[in-house]
Amino acid sequence: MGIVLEKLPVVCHKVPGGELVLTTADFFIDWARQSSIWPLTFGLACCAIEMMAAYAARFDFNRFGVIPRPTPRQADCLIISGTVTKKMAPAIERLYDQMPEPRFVISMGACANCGGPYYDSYSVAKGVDKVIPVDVYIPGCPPRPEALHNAVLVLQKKIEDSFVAGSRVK
Amino acid sequence: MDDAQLVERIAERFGEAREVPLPDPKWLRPDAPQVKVPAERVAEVARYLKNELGFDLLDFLTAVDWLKENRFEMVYCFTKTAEPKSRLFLKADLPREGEPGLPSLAGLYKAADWQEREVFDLFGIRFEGHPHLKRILLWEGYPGHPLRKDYVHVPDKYDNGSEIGLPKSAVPSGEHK
Repeated sequence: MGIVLEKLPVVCHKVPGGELVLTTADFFIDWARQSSIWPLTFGLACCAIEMMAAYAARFDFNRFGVIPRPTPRQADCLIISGTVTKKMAPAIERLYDQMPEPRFVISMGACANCGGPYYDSYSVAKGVDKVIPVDVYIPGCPPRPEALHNAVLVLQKKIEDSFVAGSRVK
Repeated sequence: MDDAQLVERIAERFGEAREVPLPDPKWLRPDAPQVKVPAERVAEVARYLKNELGFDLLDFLTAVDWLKENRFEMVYCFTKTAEPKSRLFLKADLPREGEPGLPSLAGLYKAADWQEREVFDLFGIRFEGHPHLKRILLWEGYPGHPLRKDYVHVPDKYDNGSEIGLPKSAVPSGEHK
């Protein structure tokens, strides 16, 4: 099955013909959400190149259950990979609005975090958190694919801690 | 036809045309002659360059804001692609006050279309006779033209309050022309 039962809050019963596993609904839902974070296929600037590398064979995002989706209606996660220009901000807001709850946002790189090298520009938003709420920030210019993987691990931990009875508490 | 002859021919045809001296004698001389004409004659000169002198390619066009001299300078770069190859810079001065404008080259060179829109977007220079003179990079309703040297940014909802740009004390007060 690939599930390490010793680490999970489960009760395991041997029954004739196999095993019966009992756990809480909260834990099960969190586990399912953590293991299939599906981000929107969405790249903004040069960070998107690192994001593509993270998806590709050498770094292999699939092993975390991260599979890119072509539409916001199927996506759980929005990776803001690059500079958020003020002209693009309404489009990002709209994509975010089209995603179903629960939804998560990873802000990737210096530009998306705070404007980065374009902080003094007239046309760049000072961070994507001026537009939509952000769950995980990744520093770097650009961050390596490993950093993006780490962000997903952090996000998984956050999903584990954030929900009680199916609704978000923090 | 060498560069000197080229400038001579243009000067002969358009009396007000003259070769531009370098702003500083220490500057490297570009490998092409630079000719300055009155702004309202730019389209006329470009038509002559294209149809009679064979300058069939407009490499680029751009503008420079000389704030201290209170003028904009339009810069056009033309290339003759047929042998013998040749290159020419065409320049024109515009006043900074009011709505500076000059004839569009979009009907003559397709390449001028979007680049004139860019100059209009960032400098606010109008091109008369342009088929679709709208902002190309910034959005409709953007306040001002940011490549003007006296542009002041008004913070909006995507900025951190009034904090924009470096504080005045951090900017070196070097002379720049």
